[in-house]
Amino acid sequence: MRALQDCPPLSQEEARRFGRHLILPEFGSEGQRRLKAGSVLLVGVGGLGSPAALYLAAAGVGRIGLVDADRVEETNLQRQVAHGRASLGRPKTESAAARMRDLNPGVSIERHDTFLTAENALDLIGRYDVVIDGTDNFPTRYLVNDACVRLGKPNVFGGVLRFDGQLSVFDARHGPCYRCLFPSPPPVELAPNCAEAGVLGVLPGVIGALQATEAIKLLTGLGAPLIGSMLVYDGLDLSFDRVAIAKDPACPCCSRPPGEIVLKAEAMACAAPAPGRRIAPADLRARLAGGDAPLLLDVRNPPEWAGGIIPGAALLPRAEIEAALAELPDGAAPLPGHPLAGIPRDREVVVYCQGGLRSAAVIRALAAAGHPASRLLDLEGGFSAWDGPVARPVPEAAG
Amino acid sequence: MPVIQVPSALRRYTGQQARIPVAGATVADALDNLVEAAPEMRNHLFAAGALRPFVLVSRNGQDIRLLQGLGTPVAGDDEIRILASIAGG
Repeated sequence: MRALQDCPPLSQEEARRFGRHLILPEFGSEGQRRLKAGSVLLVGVGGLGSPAALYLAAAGVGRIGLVDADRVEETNLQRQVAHGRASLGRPKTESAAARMRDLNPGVSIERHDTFLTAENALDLIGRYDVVIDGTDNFPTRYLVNDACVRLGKPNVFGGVLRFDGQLSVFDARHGPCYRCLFPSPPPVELAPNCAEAGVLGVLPGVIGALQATEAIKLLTGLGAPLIGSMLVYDGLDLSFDRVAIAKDPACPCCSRPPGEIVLKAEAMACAAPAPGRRIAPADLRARLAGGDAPLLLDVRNPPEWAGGIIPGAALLPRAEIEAALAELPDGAAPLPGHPLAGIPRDREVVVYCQGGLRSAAVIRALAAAGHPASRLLDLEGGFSAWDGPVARPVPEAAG
Repeated sequence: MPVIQVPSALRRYTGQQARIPVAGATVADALDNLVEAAPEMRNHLFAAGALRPFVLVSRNGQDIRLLQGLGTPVAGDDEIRILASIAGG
């Protein structure tokens, strides 16, 4: 928390605008001045980052940084309320910044149209008082954690999946860090993301608003931040439970002197080496153009197909493939009519998903079920890296 | 009998049941009984006999690492909660 003498006074307009804060005895003009002098970095401006960005701007945080390299897609709008139809295809930071300025033109918004990386994390996080982790993947979460521990910054953590939410404040100076709880991420096949497992649209609204609350508390010194506890929200039975957590004296991160913490991209390890081969987008494009076309298998979910597919791809979500494989006797080839009968074993099959995680899991599962691994190819970088032709509208699903 | 609270991401292995009553004198016993009834859960929870590094288990709101780990005793209406790390945002 910043010393009051380092916080600028409020203008008359600000005193009027934030009157509902000023009238709270615990908050007062001191709290508002501390917010005005404070800064927050939002890593991810998606489901969690949207409500956090809007509430922090509205509350009068002086400087807010937005880190996100993604652009607004239609499937985002089910939950990412900082964006709208008019922003489709635009950078998320641009879309969110416009809404935030509309709420509060006095806030200074700094756009960082990039992903957080091991190279830029210390520089970006070092410029802000508080970090809100609203990312959507494990590697970035570990990067946020490690950088915050190294720099001695509080990390307001939020995570959502399906109907479940988690919230905590990790501040290694006063309590556990993320790695104290979860030293390493799950293997790909045990780590469904929201695109695969789904998420109730309002869920990140609940958790993102709580992250904003914790950030405001940290900046103003109000109340007790959620350090040393994990809040667990279950949207189905509407329960909020707290689990007491503690620093791990053998933590691979925060038990070390901060200066010795080396940032590195946490690889999403696979439980077993992925069989099959990989194919670069340019090589696939050349093969499709040259008439030497392998079968294409898109293992994303139907809403993702609506955003475009590689022309000619068979469409079969990963979950359906795994369910169908589970019903096959060991090593048996699928009979005609079986959902997997459309995946030939005597021809090369290029499997792709959005980013390359699910396709690797499918290839592993197909190979384990007897599909010749030498004929399975994983499209590098998935559909996100595909720069060839895209087909619309969505054809009928295969199988 | 102690009850195990299962996160929604793992309920597909428990017939969508959120709360599973299990017998057992320790957290380890209770989890053993759970994975016996829901075998697909084992791979999510354990590797080489230890809890996986992305799974946290609590008893009555306390991380079992603050108690006696998998040997933490359970009885009566104790609640054992499984928390898996989630990255969605």
